[in-house]
Amino acid sequence: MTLGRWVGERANNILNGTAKLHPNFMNLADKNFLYANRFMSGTRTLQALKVAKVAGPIASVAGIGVSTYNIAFGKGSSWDYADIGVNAVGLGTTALVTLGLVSNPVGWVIGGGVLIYNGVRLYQSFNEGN
Amino acid sequence: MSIKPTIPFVGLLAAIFFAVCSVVLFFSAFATMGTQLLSAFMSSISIFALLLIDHSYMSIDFNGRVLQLSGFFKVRRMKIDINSICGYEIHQRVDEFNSLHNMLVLVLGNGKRVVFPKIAYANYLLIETFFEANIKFMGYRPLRFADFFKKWVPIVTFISGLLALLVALQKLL
Repeated sequence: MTLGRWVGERANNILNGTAKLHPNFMNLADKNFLYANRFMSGTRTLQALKVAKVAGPIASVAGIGVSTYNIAFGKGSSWDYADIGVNAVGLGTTALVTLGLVSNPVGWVIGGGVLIYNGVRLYQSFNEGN
Repeated sequence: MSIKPTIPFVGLLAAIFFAVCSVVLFFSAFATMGTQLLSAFMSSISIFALLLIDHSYMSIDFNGRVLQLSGFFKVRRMKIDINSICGYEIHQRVDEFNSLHNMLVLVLGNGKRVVFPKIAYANYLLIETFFEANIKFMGYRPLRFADFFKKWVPIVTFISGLLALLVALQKLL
């Protein structure tokens, strides 16, 4: 199995699993009031959703951190510079879209570009190891 | 009437993160021209983040005649006579944090627009009510393909970040 296919299948499973879990929780809460607080209005669920919202940007920040570490300690390559640049642009676009300073279509084009870059980089780093 | 913005924890943390990265690169034992330029780039991002916070997280004060807007760090200050305001628009937007929502945009007499992002205010309804009572409504601008953006913007951001993280982990291994 190729890496791209493996990543695609895992991402698909996660998304499908999340979509299935949500109605399951809702049905459970409808049938059993004991679960209602836990799954519908529970603070843990809300907290988990809040974390999920910032998970992408935090992961991008972590990526930038690792690239910075590599460069600062003499192990960096030109790919590290490119990773920092592209992910910083991605984060900046997320911020500008959130603050209403860039339109959604523009943000979508840049965000899509960053996604493609990161996908290609993952494939390339698995194959070449940098 | 006075409306205060929320504290932008995410933005401030991002600004601090980039400032720390910049300092680490600047004082690196392996410093080259490239690392110095990258350090300057990161300092710029940090300053840009702080300016964005100041630009968007505004305090709103209204004394009956003048609308006073002041940035989070008080760098951006605007005093707008209520008569010089053309009106306000409601724009439909999608973002990572608020999903599909409406955003208020003030249209000034000189053609300038002041955006009030939803993320910046805990009680956005208060601003909507204030605008509705005092300023002319100029129209609603729906977002084309709103459902598409609503569904895919969070997914694309999440997967993009995940891929960046996996690349980073691959580097560490």
